Amino acid sequence: MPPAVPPDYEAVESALPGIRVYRPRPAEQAPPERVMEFACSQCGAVTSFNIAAGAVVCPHCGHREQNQQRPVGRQADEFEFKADLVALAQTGWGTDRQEILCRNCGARTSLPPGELTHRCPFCASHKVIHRPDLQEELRPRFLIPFQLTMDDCRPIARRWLSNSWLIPSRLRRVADTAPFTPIYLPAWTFDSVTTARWRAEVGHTRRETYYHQGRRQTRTRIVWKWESGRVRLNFDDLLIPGTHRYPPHLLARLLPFDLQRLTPYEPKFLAGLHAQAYDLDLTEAWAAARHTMRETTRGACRHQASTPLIRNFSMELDFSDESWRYILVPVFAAAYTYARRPFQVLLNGQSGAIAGQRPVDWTRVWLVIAALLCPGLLLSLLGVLLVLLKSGGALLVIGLVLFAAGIAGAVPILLRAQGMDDA
Amino acid sequence: MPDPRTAPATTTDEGPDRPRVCGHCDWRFVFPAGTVPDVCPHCFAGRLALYEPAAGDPALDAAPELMIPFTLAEAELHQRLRQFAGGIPFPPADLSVRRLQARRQPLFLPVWLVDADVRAQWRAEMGFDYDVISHQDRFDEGRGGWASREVRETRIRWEPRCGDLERTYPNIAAPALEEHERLWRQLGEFPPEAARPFDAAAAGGIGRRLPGRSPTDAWPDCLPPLLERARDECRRAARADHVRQFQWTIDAVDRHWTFLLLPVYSTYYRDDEGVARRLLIHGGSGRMAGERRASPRRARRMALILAALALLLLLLGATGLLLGRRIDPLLPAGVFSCLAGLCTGLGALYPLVRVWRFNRRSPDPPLH
Repeated sequence: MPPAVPPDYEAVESALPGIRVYRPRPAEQAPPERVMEFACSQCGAVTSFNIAAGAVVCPHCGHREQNQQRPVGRQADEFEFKADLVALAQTGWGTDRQEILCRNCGARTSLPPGELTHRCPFCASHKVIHRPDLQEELRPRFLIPFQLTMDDCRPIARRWLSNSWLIPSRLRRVADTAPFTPIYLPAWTFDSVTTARWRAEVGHTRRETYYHQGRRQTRTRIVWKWESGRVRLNFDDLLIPGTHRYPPHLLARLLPFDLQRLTPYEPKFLAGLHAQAYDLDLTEAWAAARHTMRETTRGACRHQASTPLIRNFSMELDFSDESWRYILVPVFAAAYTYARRPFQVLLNGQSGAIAGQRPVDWTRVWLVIAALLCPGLLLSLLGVLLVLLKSGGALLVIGLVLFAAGIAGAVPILLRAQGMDDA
Repeated sequence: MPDPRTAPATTTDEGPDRPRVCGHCDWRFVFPAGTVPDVCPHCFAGRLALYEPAAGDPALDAAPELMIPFTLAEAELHQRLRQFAGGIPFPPADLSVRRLQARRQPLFLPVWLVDADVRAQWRAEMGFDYDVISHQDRFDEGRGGWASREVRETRIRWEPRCGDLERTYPNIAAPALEEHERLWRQLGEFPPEAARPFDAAAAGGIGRRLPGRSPTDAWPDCLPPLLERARDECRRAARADHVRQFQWTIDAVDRHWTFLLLPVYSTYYRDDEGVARRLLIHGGSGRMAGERRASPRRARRMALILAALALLLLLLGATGLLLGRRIDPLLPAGVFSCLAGLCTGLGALYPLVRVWRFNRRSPDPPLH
């Protein structure tokens, strides 16, 4: 009679007869439901996550389902770049839409790939989608919960839209009416240690005294010397947005997110909110992170040189201890139309950092520029006239000085206005 | 001291196949009737005397069941002996291939073989290889910036495993001699698969050494190789690539012992002091265990000759220098002779240093 399997162990297939092999039994995990729906356990009404309450709250009877998850911060699990997983990550989501059946009303809806949440268009019930074809590591495992509410967004947006005279006055009213939508966006965090060995010719300036035709003179000469060094940098949780849906420069302005608030993922967090799966895959995001890491390391290497005069710079860089994490970050998104042009605004749902496009009141800008340039221009023209009449050139000089001052004042305004409009 | 090469195998009246012991090295042998040598075939220094095993002596249980036959070809053996005797600076006068060949005696050494049926429980950490992808980048201002290279690195994932086993581990060599480990290290393995049933006719005329350790005494020495085999089998059973922290608890073990004879050749040469330097040769592979010694006496003799020559040259040189004041041509000859004398004097040290260094890095000390 074979010996009993030890408690908490399970038998695995042995490759040799006469030897039995047991391994620790994995923790019991119920297979996640493909589509999770949220209904109040007391009254059956459709529930959703209430950001202010930090829990799923029934809007009908007020019943609250408290979250069990507590923040784990930067201790959240990280994954290695396993060769098989990297290959799998490159396959992406595909283009197939998936069909879900609403248990509430029986309606069938077709979802595009990459959607993590859905609101039934017929009965308004909230669903969180679990992609069955995901690798365990390639599903969101952690998220940063919202810390700001939609009510907090309005004053921030109003301040942002009214902090410059370049912005049209009517836009301030838009801030009160533009709907801010909470959305969880995908993001990757990367850790790595970079070790670089560099070599370059570094220039040192020398002042030399010499005699030319019997006169003592000095000149500056650059003496080039080879230098080398070693730099080791530790990158911890470099965050790369995992979506192409918003312009990268807007997403970059939302950073940083406080990763100390990372909390294990639970579908409840997404109930009634929008959430997107990544569309910038692991390898693309890692390439972007590596680019940042190696440029930072290059800067550190160049900084190590004894002077900033550097030529023939070369370096070898090794990445080690690389790991990654796939998370969801809280963002409020709003879109508004002004002068028949759409504009996007994003707001960090944790810190309140805001980024977006702000239209510029170009009429006002040109009037101001004209006001700056006109006095100088007019005085200059008058001065030219007086010079021709041989009555003196003082007015011309004053006019030219004012005109130059006007240009000096107009150029920054123009650049700032262009920058705001392009954002 | 009698030369064992010439000592005839005597037929004594104590009867055939009686155990004998060497009074010098305490090795114990059994020789077929009519082939008992006068001198111990191991140390070549002591005489063999009759020996009565006491009760419990492992020699009493030593009825051979298996033997590995001598398979070393004569030409190969000759080649090996030539290698052994060659390359020694100032070799002892007694060390020659001809003498080593003439003094060569075949001999069987004992070893126990155990087949163990083991039932045990085990626990270990098994390591599974997996690949991770890393990168090495290179930046060169003169060659267009960055170049990136993907690097694959194999890492090990350790997971706990446990289980039980019920396996037979055949042919584990267990020491029958106290010197077993050293002999094995010096001579190398004897493949158990080459063993044949003991045939007295095939082993005719060849003495064999008696075991000094009983199976009971030898069993603890079998446990490390047994553990090693079990450890490797458990790793294979778990389809793992590595194993660490292997522990097992043996519930039951059935042991089947076999007495095996291993073929070796024994020979010797005498050093400067007339001491016999033993040489054991593996009867299958030809691997040898023995001390190669240079002769300090011959080195000293050569050093003295060179020193005398140096003295002579110095005297001639000094004379040349003295006479050179009056006869000019003798002056350079005197200088040259002095220099040659100095060089020869220094060269006289070479044989001494060479022999000292050679004997100092002598391999394993001889078996006693």
